[in-house]
Parts: sequence; C-alpha cells; structure tokens
Amino acid sequence: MSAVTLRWAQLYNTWYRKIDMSGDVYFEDDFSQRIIFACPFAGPIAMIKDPGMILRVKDTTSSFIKITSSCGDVFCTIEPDYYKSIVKLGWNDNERLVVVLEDGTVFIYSVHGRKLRQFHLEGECVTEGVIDCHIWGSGLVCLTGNYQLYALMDFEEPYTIKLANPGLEVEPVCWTIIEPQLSVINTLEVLVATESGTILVITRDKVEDMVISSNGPFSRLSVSPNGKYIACFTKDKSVWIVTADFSTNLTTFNTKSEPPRQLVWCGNESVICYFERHDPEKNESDYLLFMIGANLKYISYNYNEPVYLVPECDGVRIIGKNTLEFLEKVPDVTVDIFLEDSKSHSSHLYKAAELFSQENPKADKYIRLIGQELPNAVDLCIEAAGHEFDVNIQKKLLNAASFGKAFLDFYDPEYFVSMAKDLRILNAVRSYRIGIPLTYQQYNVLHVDLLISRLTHRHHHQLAYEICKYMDRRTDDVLVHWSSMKVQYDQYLSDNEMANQIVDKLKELPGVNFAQIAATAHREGRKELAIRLLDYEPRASEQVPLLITMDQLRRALAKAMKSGDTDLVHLVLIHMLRSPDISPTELQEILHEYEDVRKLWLSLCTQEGDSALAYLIDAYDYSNRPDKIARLKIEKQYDMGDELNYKKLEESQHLYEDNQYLFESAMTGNQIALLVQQNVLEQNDGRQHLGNSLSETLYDLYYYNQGSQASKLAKKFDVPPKRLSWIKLRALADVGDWEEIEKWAKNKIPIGLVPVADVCIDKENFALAAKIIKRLRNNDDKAVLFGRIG
Amino acid sequence: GPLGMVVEISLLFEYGIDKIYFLNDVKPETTARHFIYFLRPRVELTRKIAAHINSYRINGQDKNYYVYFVPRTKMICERVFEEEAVYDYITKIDDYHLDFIPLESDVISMELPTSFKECNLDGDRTTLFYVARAMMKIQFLYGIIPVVQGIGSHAQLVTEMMFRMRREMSADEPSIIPEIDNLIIIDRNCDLITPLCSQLTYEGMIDEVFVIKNGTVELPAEMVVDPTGDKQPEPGSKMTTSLNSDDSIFKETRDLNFSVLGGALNKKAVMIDEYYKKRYDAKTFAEIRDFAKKFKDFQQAHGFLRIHTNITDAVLDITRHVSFRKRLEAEQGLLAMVSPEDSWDYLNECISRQRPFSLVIRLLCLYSLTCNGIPSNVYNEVRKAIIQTYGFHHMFTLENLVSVGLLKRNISRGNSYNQLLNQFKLVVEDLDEANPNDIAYVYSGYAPLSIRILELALECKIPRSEKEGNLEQTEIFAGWGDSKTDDIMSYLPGDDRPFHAKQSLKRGMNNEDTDTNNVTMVLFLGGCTFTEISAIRFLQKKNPDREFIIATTKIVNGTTLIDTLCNKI
Repeated sequence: MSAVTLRWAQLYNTWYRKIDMSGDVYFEDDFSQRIIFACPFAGPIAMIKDPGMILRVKDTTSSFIKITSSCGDVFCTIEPDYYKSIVKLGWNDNERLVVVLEDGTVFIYSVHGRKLRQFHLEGECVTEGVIDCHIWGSGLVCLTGNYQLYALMDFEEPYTIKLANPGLEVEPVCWTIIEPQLSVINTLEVLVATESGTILVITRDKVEDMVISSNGPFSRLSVSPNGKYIACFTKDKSVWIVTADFSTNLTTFNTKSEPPRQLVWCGNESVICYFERHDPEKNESDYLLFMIGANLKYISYNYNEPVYLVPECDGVRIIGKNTLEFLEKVPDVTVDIFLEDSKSHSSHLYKAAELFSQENPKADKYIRLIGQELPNAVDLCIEAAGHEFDVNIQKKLLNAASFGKAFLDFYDPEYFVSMAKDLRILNAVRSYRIGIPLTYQQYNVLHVDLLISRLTHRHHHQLAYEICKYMDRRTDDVLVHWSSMKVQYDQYLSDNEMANQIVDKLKELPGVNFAQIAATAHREGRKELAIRLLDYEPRASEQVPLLITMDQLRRALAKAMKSGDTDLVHLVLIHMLRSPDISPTELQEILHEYEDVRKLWLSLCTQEGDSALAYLIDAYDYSNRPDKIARLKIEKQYDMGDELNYKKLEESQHLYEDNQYLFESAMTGNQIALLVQQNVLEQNDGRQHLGNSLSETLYDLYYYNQGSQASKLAKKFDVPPKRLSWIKLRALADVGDWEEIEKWAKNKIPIGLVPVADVCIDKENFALAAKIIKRLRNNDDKAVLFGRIG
Repeated sequence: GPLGMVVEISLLFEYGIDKIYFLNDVKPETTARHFIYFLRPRVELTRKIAAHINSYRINGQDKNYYVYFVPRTKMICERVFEEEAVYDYITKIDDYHLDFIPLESDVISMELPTSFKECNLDGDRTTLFYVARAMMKIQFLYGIIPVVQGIGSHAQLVTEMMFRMRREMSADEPSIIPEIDNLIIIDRNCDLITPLCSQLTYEGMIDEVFVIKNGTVELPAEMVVDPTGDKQPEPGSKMTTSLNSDDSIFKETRDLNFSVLGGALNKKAVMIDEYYKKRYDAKTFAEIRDFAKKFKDFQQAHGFLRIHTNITDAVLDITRHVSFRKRLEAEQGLLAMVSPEDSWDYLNECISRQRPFSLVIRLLCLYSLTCNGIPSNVYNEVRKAIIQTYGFHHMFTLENLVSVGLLKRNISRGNSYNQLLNQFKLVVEDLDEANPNDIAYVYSGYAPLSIRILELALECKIPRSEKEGNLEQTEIFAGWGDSKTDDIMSYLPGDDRPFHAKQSLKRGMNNEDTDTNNVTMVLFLGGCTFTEISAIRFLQKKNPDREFIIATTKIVNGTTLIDTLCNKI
C-alpha cells in the first residue's frame, strides 16, 4: 500500500500526487531554447524557437513550428515564411493549431501541419497591428498596437468584435482572460494589469476598474480552472489569491523571489510558481516548482531540466525534454482507500479483497465491518479505479469492487461496466503509441465524442473506429475522414480500386456523406474518382453543388431533377446559362430534351419578369410556339397598362395569323376592332367604354338609351340574337325602362317571354309581369310564374 | 393569414412585437428598428421587401431586416435581393419550416393555394417537394408509414421523393412505432369533376357563399352580433368568425346536407329551449347544481346557434332561388348524364346573362369533363361568347383551362365518363339525406369520384412489408394488389394509374398486432373540398375502428381553383 502513497505529499489538509509517465517521453528539443504552446486535455504541443535565444545560438535552420504529441512524438514541422511575424500560437477545442500574426492574419492548421483555413482579423488589428494575443478553445482576444482589445468568439464564424476601450496609454504589464463559459456573467472578460497598479476588467460593453492600489502593478495573472479565483504576482513578490470579482482576499504568500516564469493553478485549490534560476558563477541552473496551498502551506519540487507547465481542469501537466508528469490533488475516494490508517468502508473493502486473494480468513472480518455500506463501498472502489493510471492498481480496485459485489443480492452492474469500458479507452489512448495522457476527469469533461474526433484527426482511424463501435456510436465521421485521407495520400491506387475499397468500407452505413470524400478527390485533381464517389451520395443537395464545381453540369441537372428539389434544378440551369461551354442553342437543346425542366425554366423566367424575357422568347422560339410569344407580348402589354393600344395588339395578331392560329387571330382582331369602336363611342357620348368587354359595352348602350348603336355594334361583332336580347332585357330592367320592355315584348323576342316575366317579378313589377304571363302559351310556365306573383 | 393559425397574436406582442403589417407596396411608417418579414418564396413579394428597404435607405433610415421564407428560401428570391442591391442590408435570410398547419383535429393543410396551378399549368413542382418534406416531418414525429397507396403522377412523384428523402436522412431516422398505418395520396388531377360541383353540405355552402379562409369566415356584422346586446354594429360592417369544431353547433351541422339543415338547427334550438325551461323544474339542490354546471355550455351553444341560424337563413335563401335550382339541375343533368343538352342551354344562358365568371367556367368545365369535351361545332362559338362577354384577356384563361385538362374540344367518339359513372357508381338514387347511407349525400346524389377512389383504396388491404431495416431502396409497384379494384381503376381517364409501396421498418418497429392504431392518412395534392372532408368523416362514422387524418395542400372549391387559373390582368 505504501507504494501507492509513496509519492504523495501533504499540503495542509489535502494530498497531492505526481503521476509519472516520463518513461514514455523523449523530446528532441531543448526546452530552454523553445517557446511551448500546449493544447489542454493532454493534447499536442507546438513549439517555436525562443527569439531571445536566436541571438545567442547561431542557428539558422530552426525557423519552424514543430508539432508533437504530449510524449514528444513529432507530428510535423511547418516552415512558414511568416515565421518572424508570429505573435502567438494556440489550440482550439478540436486540436487545431491557431497561429496569429502581427498583421492580424490567422492560420488554422491540422496536427499534421496541413493549412486548413486562413482569415483576417479586422479593424485596428490590421491598422495598428497585433502585439499580443490569448487563445482559448473556441476563440481569441488580441491586443493591438494602440492597446485596444479585439475578440473573435468563434473560429467557425471568424467575425471580429471590438471590446470596450480600456483607455491605456502604455502597454499593460500583464493581461489574461476569463473564458466565456467560465465567467459568472457568461461573457468573455479580459483582465488587464496596468502600469498604474490596478486591474481593469473589460467586456464588450464596459471597462471596470477594480481600484487596487496597494500591491500592484502585477506581473503575472492566472485564472483558476473554474474561473472563480485569480492568482496575481504582486510588486512585493507575493502571490495574492483573490476571488474573481476582486471582492475577497483569500491568501497572500510572499515568495521573496523575482516573478516566476509561470504562474499556474493546479486544480482549484493550489497555485504553482515555476522558477528558473541561473547561477552564473557555478554555471548551474536550477528549476523549481513551488506549490502554494491553503494556510500558507507549500510544497516544492526540484527538476534538473527546464520544464513547461500545462494547466488542466484538474491539475497540471509537467513536460520537459525527458519529463512527463501529472500533478494533481489526490481525489478524496483515492485518499480514503489508500491512506494509512484509513477507516473508510472503501478501504475496508479494498483490504478485504487483498486479504482474500492471499487466502487470508481476515477478509471476512473487514467485509462484516462494512455492513450496510457495502454497495457504497463498491461504488467508491470503482470510482477510485478510474483515477488510476497504473493498470495493476486499476485491476486491484475493480477486483475489490467485484469481490464486494459478490456479497450483494442485487447490484446494478451498469457503473462497473461503463467504468471498465472507459478505462479500456483511457489505457489505450494513454499508451505512448497514441500519447494522450488523459485523466478520468479530463476524459469526462472532454467527452468521448470529442476524443474520437481528436483521434480521427490524428489519423488514429483504427482506434477511433473501435471506440465508436465499443461505445455504440456512429462511425460515419471516422470512416469519411479515413476515406478522405486515403484519397489524399494513396495516390497510386487506381480510381476503380480506390472507389471499390471506399465503398466497401462505407456500405454498412446508410446516409454516409460521400460528397465530402468526393470533394477531397476533386481537390486532389481526381475528377473521375470524385464523380464515381458522388454517385453513392444519397443527398442531392450535397451532390449537385459539387458536380457544378466540377463542371459536370448535365450530370448535375439529371441528379437535381431526380431529387425533385426545383431550387437545385434552378441552380444548375443558372450555371448552364453562365457556362462558356454551353452555347444558347445547346441550352435550348437540353431544355427540349427534358420536358419537366423546360416547363420549370419557363415558369422561373416568367416569375423573374423583364430580365428573363429574352430567355422565354428563345425557348418558345426553339420549341416553335409562336402563339406563346404572341401571348407573352399581349400579357406584357397588359402588364404595362398599355392594353388599350390596339396598334400594339396588331403585332401579336399578325404573329397568330401567320402561323395559322386562326381562332386566336380572329379574337385578337375582334379586340382591335372593339377598341376602335369604343374609341369612336367615347368621342360621341363622352362615357367610358374602352377596356370593357363587348357585352358590357352593349349593356351600357342599352342602359343609356342608345339601342340603335347597340344593334349596329352587335351586328358588327356577330352577337347572337339570344345573347343580345338577354343583355337588352337586363339593361332595360336595371334602368327601369318598363315602357320600352313592354313595347319590345309585343314583338317576337328570341329568348321568349318567360325571362321577361321573370325579370319583372324579380324587379317586383307585378302588373307588367301579369300582362306578359297571360300571353304565355305553355301552361306549366304560366302556373309557375303566377305562383311566384302569388 | 396562416400565421394566426400557428401562434397567438397576443403572444407575439408579449415578445415585444410592436405591430403586424400585411406585406404590401407601401412600407410601414414606423420608428421601429427591427423588421421581421414572413413570406412565401414568390418573386413579386420579395420585390416588395426590396422596395421597402430601398425606400427606407433613401430616407436615411437604418433598420435591421430579417426575412423568413415559408416554408423554404428559393434562389430566385435571393436573386431579387441581389438584383435590387439590398442583399447586404438584410441581417438574416432564413427558412421558416411551416409545413402542415392543423385546421381541425382531423384536418391539416399546407395552405398552398396555388399548388394545383403551379404543378399543372406552370410545370413547377416545388410545392410537391414541400409536401414530401412535410410528410417526412410527419413520419419523423409519428413513425414511418408502412403502407403507401396513391393515384396520379404527382402522387407518385411525392412518394418517390419521400423515399429518396428517407434514404438521405436514414442516419437520423428515429425509432418510433408507426402511429399511422397507411397513407393514401390522391392527386387532384384524377378527379377534377368534384370541385366543380356546387357543394351541398353546410360547411361547403358557407364556403361557396361567404368563402372560408384559414378556418374563418367574414360575415355581415349583424349576423354575428346579438341583436339584444348593447353594442350594435354599424350597418355594412363585417366581422370575422371562426368556424371549427370548438363550436358545438357547427361540429354537429358542418357535414350535413343543406336540405336537413333547418331541421337539425331546429332540434338544437328545442334542446336548448328545454334546457332553459328546466330552470323552473329544478327543485332539488342536485338538479339546480346540474343545471348550473351545464349553464355555460348551453349559453355558449345558444350564441353559436344564433349565428348559425343567421348563416343558414342566408344560405337557404340562396337555395330557394330559381337560379340556384337551375344551376343544380344543370350540374346534376351532366353528372347523371340525363340531359346534357339542357345543361348546355343553361350554360349559354348564363353567359348571355353575364353570370359570375367562375360559375360559368365551372359549368363549362364540368360539361367538358362529363361529355368528353365540348362538341367541335360549338367549341369556338362558346369560347368566343365568353371572350366577348367577360373580356379579351380570358382567351388566355381558356388556354390555361385547356392546359390543365379542365377544358377540351371533343375530337373522339365515345365518352369515358359514362363508364366512370357505372364503374364507380357516381350517382346514387334513393338517397336519404337525413340519414345518409352513402357519401353521395354531400352532393345530393353525386358521390365524389375522389372519395370513391379512396373507398376502393381502403378495400385493398395491403399487408406491411416483412423486411426489416431501411437500407434497400423502397420499390413502387403498380396497382393496389387487388385485380378487381385495379380493373375498376383502369377506367379512370388519362395516364394516372394507382400504385402502392411498402416501407420497411426498423427492427422492432413492426408492431402490427396492436389493433389500437388504425389510422389512415389521406393526402390530397392540389387541394380538397369541404364536401370531400365531410364524405371522409362519413366513412369514418361507418368504420368506427378506423381513424382518418386528412392532409391537403389547401382546402379549395371550384371558384378558388378556377381563380388561380384565371389570367390575372
């Protein structure tokens, strides 16, 4: 048992331990000459040459960025031409390297050094230049040459926002940020230690002066992992710990030293100062970790080589050329089990299991000591197993748990199983081959999905795939990435073979994103392969745009049509229209080939209005529909409110006539003639006629007692006598000219007398109605109509 | 508009909406800085927004614009913004996936009035794509529908799109035991006759007379307001009244044939009256309490009854008129193939008397559909008469009607409608409208063809697929798997043939043993009428263990359908 607690150290009432993984580590580089940028969650490390060292060591070859795993495995070296203008490197949540330059340019690289994206910060970041920068998992904050702060909140949507003006005259002594997800007010906060000794808290909307005068200016600032506390290194060489709102002092510890090289939190309960001291006389350097806890207690650790501290959510990762350690507060469950003289139930269970394995009958005594608390003790042993890096101890703890389980009638195995699974994953990724020394707590915070994604992007496809299967997750992303990489790197494989291999791997997955792989193939210049792969893509909305980029317009059209998404068809058609490879005649040929597309095209052009008129005429011309062109012209004329212009109508009439559209030609001719007549009428009687139909005009004429004009007009336009009679009857009845009706009814009326009687009744002229009904011959009609008069 | 059907307007105000405007040419005069536009993706509407933005900009007003297209952005609309150079001033352009809107507990509608016109006249089938997507959403929520039956090319298109989309989304398919057993898709094209006929159910008649819009109807205020109340409306003013099954009187009368309407309302009145009388009979405490408990319901019903009595009076007034009777005779003469000549004469009389255009066109098209087209010798004559009476531009309306198949010139012998009439038993004699025994009651004798097709579809019990998983392509088969039915269906004119398909379900989702859910969804493409809904409700009453959900692109009637086809000049 002592072996477990051997490297534990007590700090007031808590225990700290170092987990040593140095056996797996070897860095090529000398840390004293490098600036290190490490990605949290046991992520990769980027290093550049310390510019201070360039002067001392004549080393011209090393103007590169090197990316390694936590264990020193080199992923890549990038030799950028902008090396001298680098301001800061950092990592986002997806393990992508972020490089910020003086001129506000930001590059995003994969761990393998492939440039993924590039964008520019805006505003004074460009005009004044960037002099410093803080990068966190999803965004960054820049300090510009004129001491303004700019933030980018999301690398996915690189949109620069300006924070409130801190009003600085000189460069801040030191500054740091509270990430939005840690901030109490849920927004990004920037803490700036000014020359004058105070601290400003800056958000997008305001600057707040914390009005601290006593112990500033501060040369180091550090925010605790939970965002609740701030550690500051004061002018008088003390570490001052205060709540994040600067309202409550927690500790002040005088180190009596110059400012440390690094000031970082180890968990949320202690702060570490890392000092590097050089004794020029002995030409010796000494490297000291100085951990400060509650009640002015401290622990110090010495190193014989320079190290770099990476703060994690639950402790500190310590890396050096030959060093990889994790320093953390020992979890309470672990303390309870392993601490000498522990009387906890979990420790009893652990002991019982140990004794049992030694076939020692005392085991029974311990089990009985636990009594009712056994289920809880089992849980605690399982939990403690999670916190161990040593596989043997993991096994012992899980053994203890399963030993305890045996005494229980019912115990839900869920926790045990999931922990065993998690540990298998953790042990796999911790191996030096993979080099991700995650703790159980970090693993939970990071989430297994993000871990899978990190593994995928590190090209550990096999492991990522197995974890997916093991944890019952979809393997799409892993396999799509694998395929894309295969397309990218396996350049000698034939298109056929490549497509077969990929399809073979992916066929088990419905709905997998083939378009993404095809896009990679297209980028790599393998067009045929891209087209083949795209055929397997089920989503037309992914397929069609890519086919368009690949200039496969006809194929794109076919796919778009099949999908039924008219917007996609439209997209292809517009590209066809603009494409230099497709002549207007060719476009018409294509339209002619697909009846559905042609109709849609016509409809779209019609909707679009004037700008597309020419296309419409082209299309009708090609399909030999002059009648449609004539109609289009007439509609256009009406649209413009020019429908009374009969001269213009003649054009269309000719078009109809010349192409044997006789009915249409006749009707248009009639309309022209009607307009001419109406014009004359208007001049004669001063009433409005233009724009009315023939029947309406006739009605008006009868209504205004111009019966003879009406007859003339009716004759001219061949209005059948029956219809004319109806119009006349209606007009006369409406105007109330019963005399005229009576007179008219004495003659033979084409529609007979029944309607006349009807109208009389409707208009309640019963006297006339009666007269007319008497003249009817049909007795049935007579009876009905008399019935209505009553 | 439909927006009111998905959100309480008062809720919008609670969320800080200042005022709601209808999109028109004049920009809202307001100091508000943020504008949210909801619109259908149509070019002319988009241009209006662009005009608003430009007009504000000229006045130097800086505003934020958020544009939501319902149900989806169209590229052609975004191009309008680019053309009008306002694209950069719009803060956000996005989709608002408003798909099916519930109108009733058994009716959902996409509220796409121009779907029929766009699909059949313009050849733009975008709305079908929307329908397919909406159906995917339904299946996402209520499970994959195991059996799909359909008739018509558009129905088949929607089905193909649905299957394709299922493959596209297969990764996200939820595991839900299907709540809907089968889907029957009916393309309006397969039955153009029904919407042309005058609807004779209560709700249908209200729609014909007053026009029901999004479940509400605008009535003269004096029909709505209690004449004994304090507030009397200004004469000539109109009031909007909701029409749905929350109204206890309407719930029981909406599907009735108009001939029994008076009696039904009377019965209700007597019932309410008797209830009020009970007040004097109530002696024991329990009786009084019972009376009081129902008082509110009855009082509410009383209010509804007054409104419906007024509406019914207005509707029955119309039915008593000679012209209504003549029109009905003309329609029935065509439908029953008794005296098409008389109907033709009546049609000509209507034109001569310049009766409302849509009525004339409905009758003309009904003639064309039942008599195998307009006889060649009078085809030009009647078209000329219409143009001379209603205006030159209707030459194009007639062209449109020909394009969609509502109108044609008779060029062949024989008449397929005669066969339809016999095969589908479209006309039912001896109908008891008070206690209907057949769906034909909704048109007093004519059984809507669409619902006859539905009846046949329901008779074909297509078993679910026994395959599990969703990897393979779903195959579409011709016919409904019953040779007798398929034989009858072959009498339908045109190329539209029935088809069916079985969608395989995920493992464990095929839970057919439980008889609890016996739900059929009927989807109308191109719209359905209130009478068709009533007829389906009648079918439901006849088969109490089957539940129907009616989905449609829009509730239409002959007039609104013809309106979309009219040349708008």
